[in-house]
Amino acid sequence: MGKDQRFRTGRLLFQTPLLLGGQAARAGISCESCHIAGTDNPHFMLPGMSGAGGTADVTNSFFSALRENGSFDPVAIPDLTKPGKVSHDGEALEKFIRDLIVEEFSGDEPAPDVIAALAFYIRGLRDADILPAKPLTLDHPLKQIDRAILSAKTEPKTPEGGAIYLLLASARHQLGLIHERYPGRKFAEQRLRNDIRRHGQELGRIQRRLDDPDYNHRSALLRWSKLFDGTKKKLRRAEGNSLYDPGKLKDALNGK
Amino acid sequence: MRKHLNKMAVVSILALSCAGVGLHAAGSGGGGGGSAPSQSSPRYDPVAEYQKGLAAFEAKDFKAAVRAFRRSLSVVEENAAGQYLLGASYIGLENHKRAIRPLKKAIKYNENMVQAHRDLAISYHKIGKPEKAQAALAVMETKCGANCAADSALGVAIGEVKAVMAGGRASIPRASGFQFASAQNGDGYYVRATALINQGEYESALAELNQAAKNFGPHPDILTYQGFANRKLKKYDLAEQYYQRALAVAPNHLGAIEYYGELKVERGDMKGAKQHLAQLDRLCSFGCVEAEELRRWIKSAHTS
Repeated sequence: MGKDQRFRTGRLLFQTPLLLGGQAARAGISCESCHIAGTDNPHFMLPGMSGAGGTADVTNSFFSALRENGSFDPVAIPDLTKPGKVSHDGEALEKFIRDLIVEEFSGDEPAPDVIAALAFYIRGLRDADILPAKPLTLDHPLKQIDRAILSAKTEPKTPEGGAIYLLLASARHQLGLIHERYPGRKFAEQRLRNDIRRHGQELGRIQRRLDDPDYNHRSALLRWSKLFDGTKKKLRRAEGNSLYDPGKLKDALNGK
Repeated sequence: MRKHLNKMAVVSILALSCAGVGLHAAGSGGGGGGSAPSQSSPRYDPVAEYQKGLAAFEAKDFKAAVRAFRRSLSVVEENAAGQYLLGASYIGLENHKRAIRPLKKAIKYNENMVQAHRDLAISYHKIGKPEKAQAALAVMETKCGANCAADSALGVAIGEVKAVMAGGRASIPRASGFQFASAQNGDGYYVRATALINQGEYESALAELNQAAKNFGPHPDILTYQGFANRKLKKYDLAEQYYQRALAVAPNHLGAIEYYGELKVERGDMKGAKQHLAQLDRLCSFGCVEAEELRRWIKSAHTS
């Protein structure tokens, strides 16, 4: 797998809520929630866990009893693109990532390939160019889905699924984000929403078969991609009526 | 190697208000469809009605409070705080007769609700039923015990009842302790409860959840965690009741479905647990941690 592909795989996992456990996962929080594009998030505010915006008390039993320190001490969310407290040399970063997921957020023990992908991404952040912000369009989640599916086809299969399972979780998460922005007031739009749901459920079925050593997930994903191509076209045609349209989004936020 | 980061103008998490801090939305996904007429009759949002009732009560609009609390209780009757406030609202309308039944229910669902005991005894006295008033007072005295401290909550309430029976007036306002109910306060109780649950302090968590429930009413997230804490205390029947109440409020509540499924695993009802998992897989088209967790529980049960 090329380095760009490895970087993208790590980023997809970084953006997947299922990676973290406990309350974070239940609230739909991913690593990206606090570290947007690997940086910080000055708007992050979790009542009871944040002080000022952009801070979080991660030594609180709300997330994990293991890190509880008995005091309310929210800290500023660090910018991971800058040098910080964790060395990127040796295995220190891998250990830090593992401990963060398991001890700080009560997540499941991540598979070695998951940690490796995340570590590659985080190490790469310091070299990455930060591109200027641009408005969110349908293109963004569709590309994320394509990358997740491609990575899932390319990653070596491991028992329990490992990175592949989470990559498919990432794709499903992106589908959910698209689903949110197609409100479906008209019948045709409702059908499109149902299609998106069906694609999500099919990916779930593929996920659940990953621990079957005889299951050919690559063929299944190939079939899935072909079917999804049809939905992609419908999504693009309907994008102007979706909440990816800035005018429609503004109206929706104003309750119109 | 070409790498770049796109700082998209994504919607940041501005606030996960308590409607979302570890609190799930009341159900997600799924559509109903195909329900019988009796199931599609008008339903009220019991949490919203409870909040309306609380606001009306504080504004002394007791008629509106009665209406709102009755609506809330029509969905979840086993809400001690709601029953008490309904009783207190009737008292606000000087209708002590109507107050009796909800006050009795408040005690039924929370026998330690001192104010409910107090107001029940006083209401019996007001409607000219001295024997029942004495009986209600006797219950309070028994609960307080032989060495009842006059300045304890029960001791003070007993003093109030006796004063009213002797021709005086109750000086402690009804529903004291509810006046400062707010979403913000409720958030704090809920977050503390969650932290206590993670520490295994289930009794303490239940105390915080009871306070959160005073603020929010029969919120499905609170009911679900009340079920969870009771389950961890091995009070399975009580846990089941809470899960069922949560699902009465929000039939698609992911947390309640998951934890109820886990309860079924613990009870050996694997068929029931798998039905819950199937429901979660249907509701969570885009994946959810609740389905993953329950799947893990079922798998562990099969392999152990």
